[in-house]
Amino acid sequence: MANWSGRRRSLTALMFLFPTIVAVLIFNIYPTTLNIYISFTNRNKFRPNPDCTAGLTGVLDPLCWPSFRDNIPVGVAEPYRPITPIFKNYTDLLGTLFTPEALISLVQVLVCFVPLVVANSLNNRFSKQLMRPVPGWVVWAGGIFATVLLMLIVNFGKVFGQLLDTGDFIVVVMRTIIFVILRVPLTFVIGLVLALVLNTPDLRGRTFFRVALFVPWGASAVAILLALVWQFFFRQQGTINQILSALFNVEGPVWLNNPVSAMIAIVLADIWFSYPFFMVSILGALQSIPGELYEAADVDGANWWQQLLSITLPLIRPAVMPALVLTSITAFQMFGTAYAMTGGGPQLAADKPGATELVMVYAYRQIYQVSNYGRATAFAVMIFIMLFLATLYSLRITKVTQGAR
Amino acid sequence: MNWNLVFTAWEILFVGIGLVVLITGKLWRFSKKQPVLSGRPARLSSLAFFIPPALELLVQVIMASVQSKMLSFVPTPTAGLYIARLIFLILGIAAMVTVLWPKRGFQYSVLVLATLFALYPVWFAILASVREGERLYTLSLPGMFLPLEPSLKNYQVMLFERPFLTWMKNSLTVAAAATVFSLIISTSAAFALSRFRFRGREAFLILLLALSTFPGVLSLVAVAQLLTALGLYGKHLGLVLAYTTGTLVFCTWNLKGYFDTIPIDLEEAAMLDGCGPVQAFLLIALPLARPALAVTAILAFMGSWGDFIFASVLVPAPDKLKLAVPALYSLANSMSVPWGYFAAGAVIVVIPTLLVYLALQRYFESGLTLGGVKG
Repeated sequence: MANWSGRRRSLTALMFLFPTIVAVLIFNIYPTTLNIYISFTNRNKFRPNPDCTAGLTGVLDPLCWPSFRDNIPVGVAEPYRPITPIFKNYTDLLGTLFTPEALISLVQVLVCFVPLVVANSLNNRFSKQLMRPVPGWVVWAGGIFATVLLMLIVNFGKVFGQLLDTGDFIVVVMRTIIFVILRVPLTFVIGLVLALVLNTPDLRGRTFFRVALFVPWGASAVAILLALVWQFFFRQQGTINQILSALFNVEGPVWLNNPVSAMIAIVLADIWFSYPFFMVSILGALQSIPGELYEAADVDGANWWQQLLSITLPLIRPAVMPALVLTSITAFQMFGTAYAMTGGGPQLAADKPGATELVMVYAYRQIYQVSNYGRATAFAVMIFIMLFLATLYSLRITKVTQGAR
Repeated sequence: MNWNLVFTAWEILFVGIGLVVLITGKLWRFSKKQPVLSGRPARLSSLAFFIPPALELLVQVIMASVQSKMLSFVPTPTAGLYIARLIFLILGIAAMVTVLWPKRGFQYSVLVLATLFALYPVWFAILASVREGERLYTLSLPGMFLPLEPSLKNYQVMLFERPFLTWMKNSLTVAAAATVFSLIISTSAAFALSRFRFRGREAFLILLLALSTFPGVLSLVAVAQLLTALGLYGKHLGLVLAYTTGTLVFCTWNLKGYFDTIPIDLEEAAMLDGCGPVQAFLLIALPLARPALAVTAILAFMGSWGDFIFASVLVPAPDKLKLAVPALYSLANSMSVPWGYFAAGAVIVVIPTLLVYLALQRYFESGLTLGGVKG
């Protein structure tokens, strides 16, 4: 490595890094701090301005700093203050989660998924042994069976409903998790199938298909505009209903007004935006598998399915796992598709988040439409914590940070 | 035209072919003198002919029971089931192609279906943009797929009667300015992170990575407050600052990765000749990193170009200051404006974006960069 006059090395590095550090401090670290502070105040549409004498407002809010005081918007009555009780925004969001009944139903819901976790760890242990006592799918089938059984025992539907009744936070997060669970595996399977097909040797027109199938990735750069086109397909007079009426003379419903079909529509549209990423990353991994492995398997008489399960999938795993984890995190933060297609609707009840109001849509609507900044920032802080934990975990799995060495 | 008849004919055809294959034990292709499959494989392949009609029949049974109010809990029953019928028809055709052309049939039916799925939304946007406003809803079925009576009136309206060009100019200047700032700041940081070993380097890189995973919406309130204090709320400069920091982390990591791949020998040689770090950076590393700079610049530009959240909150009004994406969004959602105008604007925004991404496809395929992860 280059060794510019040892003693001044750190200073030189600091000089190169200085602009980045300043930018990160001003536009990342400081807003996060202010964000946490606002989450403990009653700031909203009617109280946007600071009361510089209350609490830490005078220190943290930039509008209180002497040189910026002239920029305070005029004509609004009351200033915002720290809220009493201090955690009110958080308790509003969590609602009745901390009552005994809600906690019990939370525990019951969590217990239902214990068998799946057990099955996973059992499988990991088995695969470390020389001989597997039971094949992997048997373990998984057992886990799924136990989960379904537990769900029946605790009356999952009712318990889950009770849990969702507690407050906005749980509803929104659960819906987002359901969205992720629907979207990521489907996207993965579609990407895998397309990559396998595109990887067929001597396929005519491969370049054309590769380019055509890549198009949605480009479209995802301006996702919100294409999501509006997708919304049009599901309207009352949209493409799907026109096909239905032309072919079968059936009048279709307004797809985005039904909670279930709205969610399906959003998942479908978001699959369109995101499958090329999997396709491309799996294709890259496939092309790095040496062909001799397949020749050897052919000699041993393994069929296509066996080759897929014991050569292809294990060998693309190191490349696919990071993609899977990163996609799950980005799917959790999905905004454009849901917002453009339904705006978070259909609304099931007043003052409740709509049926497709995912995490980012909720945050955006709290800021832009409801203008309840105190609650929005409290929500942001909780999501921050969740995402931070998920990110730490993903950094461990994906080993992206090896680039840091 | 009675499509139910078509469906019935399709089922009879399928079941007929399946029966022939099952009984004779031979699967024929028209062009071949020998059967493609014979014996047990052929009998197995006849399943492909039976399954789609069977599923379709099942759908019909469910439909009948729904109409007799037996399954009242099924949401939006009939329409959804008709869609299922359509899907089974398509799957049936794919299965037939697969069986009749064992070598490549499966591959091509998957690829053709996926290509239709991939291209139809973009094609539809183009179709809607060349169709005159009010006629979007009163269309025959071919009109959903083919340009009937195309006209460029929507483009004319968007370009000359609406402030669309102003929006485009706003978007271009904001995104370009943010890209330039971001690149200037991040190149030096990336060079330092790649070439120097100092305490806290790894921690700094990981901090940057952790920051990049937090979506901007979550600190939007505080950023808006900060920009209000600076007097930049509702102005383009404020947006430029927000985008600069937004793309900074991606640019830093991306460029650092590229600097890592440039061999250090050149700089060491320059160092022996008495070249300092700043000179080595400006005169040696920067010219070598030109291709990576270009790609990073394009991707950073696209990140700011397609943004909706910051643009809509930080510059909410007036119309003249708006950026293209949020302006088109509000255009599409206003009831009084024909949807075709939006489509024309969207096509003008989307098509160049698509072309840029297609041009960069090789780059995405060769090494997926961290920030390239769009999900």
